[in-house]
Amino acid sequence: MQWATVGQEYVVFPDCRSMQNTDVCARSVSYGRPMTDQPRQRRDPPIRERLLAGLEVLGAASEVRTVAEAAEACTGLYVNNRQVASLRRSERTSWDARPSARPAYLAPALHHRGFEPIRGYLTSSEWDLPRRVVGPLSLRVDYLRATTNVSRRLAWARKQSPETANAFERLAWRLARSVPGGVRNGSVDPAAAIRAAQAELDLIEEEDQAQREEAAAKLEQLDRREQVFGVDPQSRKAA
Amino acid sequence: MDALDLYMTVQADLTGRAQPRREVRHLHLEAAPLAVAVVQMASEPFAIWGALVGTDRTSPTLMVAPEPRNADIAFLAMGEFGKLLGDLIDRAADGPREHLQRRDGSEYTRCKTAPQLLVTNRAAVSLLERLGRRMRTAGYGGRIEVPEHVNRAGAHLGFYAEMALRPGSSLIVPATEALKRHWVTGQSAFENDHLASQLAWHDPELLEQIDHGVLGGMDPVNLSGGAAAERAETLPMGVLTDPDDDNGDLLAAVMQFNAKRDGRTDRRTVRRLGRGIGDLLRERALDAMWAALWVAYDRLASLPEGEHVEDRWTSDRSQFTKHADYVRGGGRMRSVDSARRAAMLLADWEDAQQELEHGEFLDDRLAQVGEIVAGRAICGTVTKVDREQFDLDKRGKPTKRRPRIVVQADGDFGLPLGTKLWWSERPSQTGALVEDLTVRGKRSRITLKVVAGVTGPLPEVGDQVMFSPYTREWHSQPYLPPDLPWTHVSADEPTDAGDLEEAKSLDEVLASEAVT
Amino acid sequence: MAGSLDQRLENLRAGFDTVRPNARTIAALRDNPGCASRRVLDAAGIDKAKLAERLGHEGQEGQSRFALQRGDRFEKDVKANAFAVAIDLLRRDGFDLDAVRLLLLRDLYPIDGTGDQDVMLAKRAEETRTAILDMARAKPDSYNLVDGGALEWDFGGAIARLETDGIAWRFKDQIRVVEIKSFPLVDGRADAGKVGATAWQGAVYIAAIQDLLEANGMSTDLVSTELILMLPRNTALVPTMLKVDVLRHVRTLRRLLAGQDSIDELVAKLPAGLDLDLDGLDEEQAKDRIAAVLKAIGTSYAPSCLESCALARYCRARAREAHDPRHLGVEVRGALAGVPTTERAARLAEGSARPRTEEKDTAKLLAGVHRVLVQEGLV
Repeated sequence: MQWATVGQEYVVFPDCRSMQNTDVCARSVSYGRPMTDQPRQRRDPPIRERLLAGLEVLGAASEVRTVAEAAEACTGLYVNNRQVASLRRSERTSWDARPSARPAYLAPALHHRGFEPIRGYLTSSEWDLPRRVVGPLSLRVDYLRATTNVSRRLAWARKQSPETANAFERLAWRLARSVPGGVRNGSVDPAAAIRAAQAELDLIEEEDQAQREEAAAKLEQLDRREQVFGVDPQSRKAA
Repeated sequence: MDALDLYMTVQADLTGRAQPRREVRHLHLEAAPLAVAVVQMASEPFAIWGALVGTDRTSPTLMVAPEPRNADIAFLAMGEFGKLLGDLIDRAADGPREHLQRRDGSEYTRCKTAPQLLVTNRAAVSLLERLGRRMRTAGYGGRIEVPEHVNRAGAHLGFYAEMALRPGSSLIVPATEALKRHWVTGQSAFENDHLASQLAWHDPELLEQIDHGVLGGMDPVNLSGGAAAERAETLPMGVLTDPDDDNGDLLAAVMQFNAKRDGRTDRRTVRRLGRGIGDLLRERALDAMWAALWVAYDRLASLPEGEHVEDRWTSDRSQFTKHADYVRGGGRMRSVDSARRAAMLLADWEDAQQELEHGEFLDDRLAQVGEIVAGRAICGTVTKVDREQFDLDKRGKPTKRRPRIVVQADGDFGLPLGTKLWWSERPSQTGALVEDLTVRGKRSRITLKVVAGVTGPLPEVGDQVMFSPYTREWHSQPYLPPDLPWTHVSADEPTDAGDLEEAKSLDEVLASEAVT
Repeated sequence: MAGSLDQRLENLRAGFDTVRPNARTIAALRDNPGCASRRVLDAAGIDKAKLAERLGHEGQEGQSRFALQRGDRFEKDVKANAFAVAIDLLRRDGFDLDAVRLLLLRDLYPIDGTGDQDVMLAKRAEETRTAILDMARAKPDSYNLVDGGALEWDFGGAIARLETDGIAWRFKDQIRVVEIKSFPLVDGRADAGKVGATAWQGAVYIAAIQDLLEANGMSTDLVSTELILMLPRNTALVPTMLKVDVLRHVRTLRRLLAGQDSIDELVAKLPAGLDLDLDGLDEEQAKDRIAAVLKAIGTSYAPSCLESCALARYCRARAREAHDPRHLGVEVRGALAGVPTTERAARLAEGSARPRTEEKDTAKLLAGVHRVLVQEGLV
C-alpha cells in the first residue's frame, strides 16, 4: 500500500488494489471545493501527486484528461493541459537527476511492439510492466477496468459519503455513458455499468493479458529509463 | 433565365452600377421594423454572441453573451432578446384588431399591426431559427431554470423563421433577398448574399455610411461597383465574425473574461467584465451590420409600394394573429412537422407563390417585360374590335356573345391556340382565348376571342394593350385560415430533454489555451 | 519537357511556398474540374494563398480558432477513453465490434513540431496500409479501429496524403470510413451544404482505399461506399451518428478525374523556362510572372471558386476587367452562351452589331427586351 502524505489537511491516497477494503476507502475523501472558490494555496498537494492519485483511482492506463478528472474528483483541485505538459518534461528531468528520489513517476503508456510512448496516455512508473504496455486490445480493456473501478467507488460513496459521491458523479458519468445501461435517466447506474464492463472484459481480458506479458518480457531487456519512458519513435528500427 | 434580368445584368456589368429590375416595391415595409444585427461565435451556433437590436436606428440596444458556450451566460443575452421580442409581439397582439366574418358566419379577428423583423441575410434567419429552437425547448429537462417568456420567445422566433420561406411574406425581411428582388448587380447571387457587397453596386458612397474606413481612402465617386464590392467584402455581414479577429483580439478578450470572472455567471459580473467584448463585437462587426441594415431599408423605401402589397401584408397579419393567439394561449410548437402539416404548408405556399407572381406582374411594368419577351404575354396595338360576334348552336342560332379583338404586336409568341389570357386593365373580369396567330416577318397578328366580361368595357382601336396569363380571378375569396390550429403538442409527448445534458463548460479548455 | 512529372512540377514550383493537398483540396476539384491551373498547382503542392497575396488579391481564408475549438472539442469527446463513445454509437447501430482493437496512429506517431514530420507520416502510412490489408484479408486479430489513418492517393498524376478521422472494421464486414464533424444534426436534419462537403471528402478517402485494395489484387467491394458521420445532436454536444451514401460521389470524382487531361498533359503546356522562381523580381515583375504562368496553364473562373480557391479574387478581377460573362454566374453564362463579352451583348441588344450564327438566339432575346423597354419608355 502506497501512502503519500502531503500535509495535515489532506488525505492519503490509497493504492487502488486495496479498494476492496472499505476502511481504506473511507480515508479517501474528496473535498468538493469548487475551483472557483479560492485561489491556489501553498499547501495544495503538488500536481504530480494529484495525478498519481487519479491514476490509482482509475487503476489502469488512461488518457491525460481522464486522469486529471479523476484527480479532481479526489482532491477538488483542477489540473489544466498546460500544467500536464510541463509536468511531463519535469518528470523526465527529475528522473534523470535521481531515479530513486520518488517512489512513483508519471510515465507514458508504451506501445507493445516498439515501446514508443503513446502520447496522451499516462501510467504510474511503479506499476508492473505488463500494466504499462499497451497492445491492440489494451486501451479498451483499460477503459473498461477504469469504468469498473470508478463505478465501484461511486456505489460505495453514494451509500457512505455523499460528498465523495458528488465529486465522482461527473467522472463516472463520462466513463459509464458508453457501456450499455451505464447511465439511466441521466445518472450513473454503477451495478449495470460494472456488469456490462465485466461482460466485455470476459471476452478480451485473457488475450490482452497474454499479449501484454509477452511484450513486457521484451521490454525487460531494455534499460530502466526506456522501461519507464519508452523508446523514441524517430529511432525505431525496422520491426 | 428571365430575359430582363439578363439584359439588366449586362447593363450592370458595363456601367458598374446596380440596375433596377422592378419599378415598384413588392414588399411591405413597416415604419419602424425591428432591426436585428446578430453574430454567433463560430463554435456555438445556438447562442447569441452579440447583437444590436431595435426599432430606432439611432438607438440600438446591445446584447452580449461574452462567453456564449456557457449556458447560464448565453441565456442572459437570449433572455434579454426574448423579452424585447415578446413585448413587441404582445403590444401588437393586445393592440386594435379588425373584426371579420367567415363564409360560415363564424367570427374572427385580425391584428391591425404585426412586428416586422429586418436582418442582413438568410444566414441570419437561420441563426434566429436555431435560437428559437433552443429557447423553445430550454428548461424542459428540468436542469436549468428558464422563465416562460423565453420559451414563448423561442416559439415566436420559430414562427418568423418559418414565414421567411412563405412566398410574398414581409414578416421577416432578409435585406439581401429583398434587394435582389428589385435590383440586379454585376455579380453572382452568392456574392450578393453579402449585404455591403451588394449595396456597393448601388452606390459606393453608401459604404461610407456603413464603415468609414472600408474604402481605404479611395474616392467612391469614380469607383466601379465591383471594385467597391471587393472592399466591402472584408466587412462581416453574416452571422460570423472575421476569423482574424477570432484568432486575435476576440480570443484574447474571451480568455481574459473567463479568467477574471472565475466561474461566476451572474448578470452583474458578466456585464461588468464583458464590456470589452461588447465593444469589440460592435467595432468589428455589429456597427457596420446595423448601419447596412438601415441603408438597405432606405433603398427599399425609396421605391413606391406596389398595389398588391397591402393584400399580402393582410395575409401576413392573419398568420401573425393566429400564431400570437396560439402561443400566448399556452400552445407549444413541435420541432418536426407532421406529414399532414407539411402537406398543408406546401399547398399554402404554392398558393402564396401564385399570388405573389400575379401581384408582381400586374403592379410592375418591368415584371411584364420578361413575360412579353418570352412570348407568354401579348403587348401590342389594337387594330380591330368587333362586338357583334357570337357562338352559334347546331342550328346556327347565336347563343353567347363572343367579341373579337385583333392585336398587332412586335415579335412572336409561344402561345398555343386556346390559351386563356386576361386584359391587364381588368385582370379578373375581361378574359379571352387566343384564336388565331399569324406571324409576318417580325410582327404578329393575334386574334382574341373574348369569353369573360363580354358585355363590359373592351379596349378600343388604336389602344396599346397587354393580355397576359395573370389574373386576380382566383383571389376573389376572402382569406381563410386553414382548419387545423397551429402545431399541436400533446401533454404526454416527450420533449427534447436529451438536449439538456449540456456538456461541461469550456472554461477549463479556454483557461489553458495558449495565445500564439 | 523532359523529366518525370514530379521533376517538372518541382521545376514549376521553383522553391515557392508549398502546402500539402488534402481531401478537401481534392474534393474542391469537382467544383471546377475544368480549371487547369488549380489542378496543376494543387498537384505541385504550391500554396495558392501565397500566390494570391503576391498578386495583390488575397482572400480571407483562415479558420476561426473558435470553430476549430468546437471541432476539436467534439472530436475529443467522441474519441475519449479509447473511442468509447464512437464504439458505443457503432454498436447501437448494429455495427457490432466484439473485440475492440485500436490503432491510434496520431498518438503513436505524433506530429507536434518536434521531430521529423515526414518520418512520422511515412510510418503512419505504412501502418495504415498494413492495417487495411489485414482487414481486407479478414485476419481475425486485425485492428478494428484506426485513428489518424494516413492514405496516399494519386489524383491524376500527383500524390496527395490524406488523413482520415477513423477507419472502422468488424469481422466479416466491409471496411468503413468514419468522419467526425462538429456541425449539428438538428431534429434529424443537418446543413445540406456541410453534409455535401463532407460527403465529397469521405468519397476521396473511400476512393483511396478502393485503389489500395485494387493495387493489392483485392476486391473494391471490401470497402463500403456508405460514409459514417458522427455529429452533435441538437443543441448540446451529445454525439449521434448519420450514414451518408457516397457511391455517386465516388463515381463522379473518378469520372471527373478520368475525363480530364492528365496533369502531365497540362504541365506540358508550359513553355520551357516559365516557372515560379520569383527571386530577384520586384513586386510588379513578380505579379507579371505569376500571371503569365496562370495564363499559360489556363484558368476557368466561376463564382463558386470564391468558396474553395485562394486565387478566386484574382481570377474574378481579371474576368471583370475583360467583361467576361463567367464572373456573373453560371446562369448568366449559360444564357449568354455564344456571346463572348457583355460589351458585345449590349451591342447585340441595341442592334448595333450583327449576330453571328451562335449568337442569334441570345441576340433575339436581348433585342426583344431592348425594344420593349424603349417602347414603354423605361430606358
